[in-house]
Amino acid sequence: MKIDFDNMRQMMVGPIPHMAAVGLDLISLDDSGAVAKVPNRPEFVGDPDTGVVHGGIVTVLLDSLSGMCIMPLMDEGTMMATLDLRIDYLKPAAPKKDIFAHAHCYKTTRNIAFTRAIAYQDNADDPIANATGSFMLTRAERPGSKKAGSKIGSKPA
Amino acid sequence: MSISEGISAARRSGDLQPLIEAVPYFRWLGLRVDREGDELITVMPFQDMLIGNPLLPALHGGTTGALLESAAMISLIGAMDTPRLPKIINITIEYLRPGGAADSYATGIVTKRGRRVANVRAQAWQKDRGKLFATASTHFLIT
Repeated sequence: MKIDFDNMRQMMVGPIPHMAAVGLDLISLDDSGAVAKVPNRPEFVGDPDTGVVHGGIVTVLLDSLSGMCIMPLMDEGTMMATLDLRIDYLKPAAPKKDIFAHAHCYKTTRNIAFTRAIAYQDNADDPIANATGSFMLTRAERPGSKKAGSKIGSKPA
Repeated sequence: MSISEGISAARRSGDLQPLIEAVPYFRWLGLRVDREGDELITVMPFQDMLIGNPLLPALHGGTTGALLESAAMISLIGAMDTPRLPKIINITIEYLRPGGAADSYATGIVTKRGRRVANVRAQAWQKDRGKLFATASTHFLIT
């Protein structure tokens, strides 16, 4: 499916309350993957002694982006639901810096999509977290299917 | 309040709320900790800003992950006797069904506590505890 990037970027923030709440900004999205950013904010701190961001914010970013990176590979109307997401925290995030993530879908089957993602700050070669995900796909040509999940191309969460 | 003061205060009183108050992200999510017998139940009251799919509506999967990670850590702190915050090594979140627009609850079960690493499983539910909507398996560094 061809993604209208500007449209997708607008749909990401305003209509999806939690994306808006964390200030998630989609930077790029195409067949090769997705890049997004969450800004540094004092309310995201998980350890007040060090100022390090809570893992939950990294989870939100990696979960969102791992789902979104599948969209350009699917026909319009495909629904998906996250099966699982594993996150390895490789090192603490540096305080007071934005966090970026890059995700790509490296394999799809009829029913499942598999993704990899990293979160980083200054340098994508020195990530703070690594994620692998799997997603259940419900393709549009199966009529009458109303499985829970997000409709690819319209609701990215 | 520093985090170690929060943990120490929580341990003295048996009330984990000072720990919640010490962590900005927990306050932002509106988390609360209830004690039921030996169990610590982390509560994430519903707010519109937690929604990830307005059509269903359903919680954002990331907030479910954040709740599970927080509950695992809070239950682990409750089971330990050091004032230091455990550091998460990794988490595997399994999504069983969408989380609805309702209050969410989670608790952690410490399955193994070694010298340096603790294994904690976490479960999350909404109205019916018998109907989990997500589970997680986590490792924490506890030195």
